[in-house]
Amino acid sequence: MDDEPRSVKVLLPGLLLLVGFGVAAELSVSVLGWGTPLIFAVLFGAVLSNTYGVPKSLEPGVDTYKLLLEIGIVLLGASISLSDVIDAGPRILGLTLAVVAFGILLVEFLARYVFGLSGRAPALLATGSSICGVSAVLAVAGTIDASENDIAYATATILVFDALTLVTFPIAGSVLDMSSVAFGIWSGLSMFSTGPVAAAGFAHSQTAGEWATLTKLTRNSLIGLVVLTYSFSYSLGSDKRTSPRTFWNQFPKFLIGFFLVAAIANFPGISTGFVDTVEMISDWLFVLAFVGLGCEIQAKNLRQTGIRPFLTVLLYLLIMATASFLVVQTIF
Amino acid sequence: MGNDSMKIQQDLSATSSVSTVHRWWYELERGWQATILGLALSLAALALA
Repeated sequence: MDDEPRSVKVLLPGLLLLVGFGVAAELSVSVLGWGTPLIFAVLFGAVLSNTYGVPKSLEPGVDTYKLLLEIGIVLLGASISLSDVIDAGPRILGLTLAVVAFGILLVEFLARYVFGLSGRAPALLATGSSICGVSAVLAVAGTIDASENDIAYATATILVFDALTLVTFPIAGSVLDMSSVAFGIWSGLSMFSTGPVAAAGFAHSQTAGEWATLTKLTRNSLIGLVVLTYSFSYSLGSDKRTSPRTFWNQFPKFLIGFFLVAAIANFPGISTGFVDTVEMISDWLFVLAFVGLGCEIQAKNLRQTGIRPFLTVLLYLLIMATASFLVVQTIF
Repeated sequence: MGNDSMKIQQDLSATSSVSTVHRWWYELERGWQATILGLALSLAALALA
């Protein structure tokens, strides 16, 4: 964050862009009669950023998409049936722990022993792939003193795969004829950043979007643990000390809001009118956030990605997506 | 003169209080901002339902 708070006047132009493209995305679905507004929202944002570019004066407002996405996720809690979560929870938690632990070891192995990467780069790629994309890269980078160069490569690689998986996962889910629940959990386990996971899920169906987000949130909740582990392992032999406070500092706090809203919505006697209204607000926030997400997708990231980090993550994704697909199809 | 001085004092304290809230909000972690705004919207929807 910058040092000085931003006024509404600075944020307004970019926010208006998100709203304008969001309304255009909704209209596109009405006029064409197919697709979902979320996909059009991402598409419009990506077209703008890769052609004319996002004007500097709009950037502060467009950057608020991350906050809009998190509010949308908090409100998505209203759509979650706690009994379903309690029923599927242990399986999802077990799968998530396995994916994160195996994923980190796999990327570290591939990066160091197959593609010859050294230093901090394997750790950044491992956390970016197995936990939650760019935010995990930055969280771990801060605790292991990674170089700017390593951070840039890892971030660019994750962003490229966010864009690639956003397109390929919904197609794969459709070709493989996956059920909504299975596709949602598969995307939540295999893809990288939270925004693209939710976008891919909702591109498949509303139910898939809800399960994709829930599964991804479970993965995100492990970020503190992974940062703590990396921080501890890199501090061995150095003067740096790590503490359990690191776990709390890195914990994604909007998860608390998500479960509070889920608790309100599942309270006996809560009307369906409440759930419908909250779902409508959440849907709109997702549309606005996905315009901003589209603005982050830039073809130039592909050129900035080193070939070895790219191949490391590609091989990881192919192995992990195949393994989690087989497990999810068997269990759910 | 005394009234003017009092008014300026009041204006200054109002400005300072707004900017303190603004700064507090700005420095709040994004996850907490999302939680607060999400809960506020939920409660508003609950009141309307």
